[in-house]
Amino acid sequence: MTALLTAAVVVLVVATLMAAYQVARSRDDASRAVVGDLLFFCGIGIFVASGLLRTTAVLFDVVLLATLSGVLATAALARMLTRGRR
Amino acid sequence: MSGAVEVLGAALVLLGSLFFLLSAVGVLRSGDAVSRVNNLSPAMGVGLPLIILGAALVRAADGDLTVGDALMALVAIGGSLVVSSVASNLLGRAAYRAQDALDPRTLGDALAGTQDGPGSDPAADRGRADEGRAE
Repeated sequence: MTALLTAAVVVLVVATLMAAYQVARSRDDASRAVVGDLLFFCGIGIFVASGLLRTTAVLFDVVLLATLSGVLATAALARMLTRGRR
Repeated sequence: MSGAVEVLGAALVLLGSLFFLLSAVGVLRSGDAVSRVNNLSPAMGVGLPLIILGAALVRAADGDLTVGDALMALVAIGGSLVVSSVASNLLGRAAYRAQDALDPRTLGDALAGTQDGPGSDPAADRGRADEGRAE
């Protein structure tokens, strides 16, 4: 089980690195905003998978808050892309 | 029995992380921002719910999944589905308006020629609106 969870963390870190490379490579702001959203959700995934390997009491609290408030960051990025217009 | 559930939960977490890798590969391969919004869907719609479900199973097999934790996991799964659809919609519309041109490989563009089309730079629009008001 530990091996499976460690593999999951490694896969998530690889996905994060690929997304970070895309942020550095892309030339338009829209792509950067979109991939920044993917980075946020990769961060949640890494937290869950690594939190299962250790003992933490706040695993599901953090996941709940992060998923429900993640839309705020996305909405803010979308408003910035359109410069405040809907 | 609990060992099997634990391994199943860990396998679900690994499967969910593979969906994140799929999204990352798609983001690298796609040519414009709207395609990248589409490529987020595997990670946000399948990957994250699978990871949360797997985490709940691992905790349940260990015997330290409280009722509150199970409820929070359920709300987080449902919330991530709702939030990802709303967020993709918002971000996709903003990305479509903000980018200059679509990827040439795109088949069909139902919004072409409308007011929201690509290249309708919001700053330029606002400039025109300001001029109209001044006159």
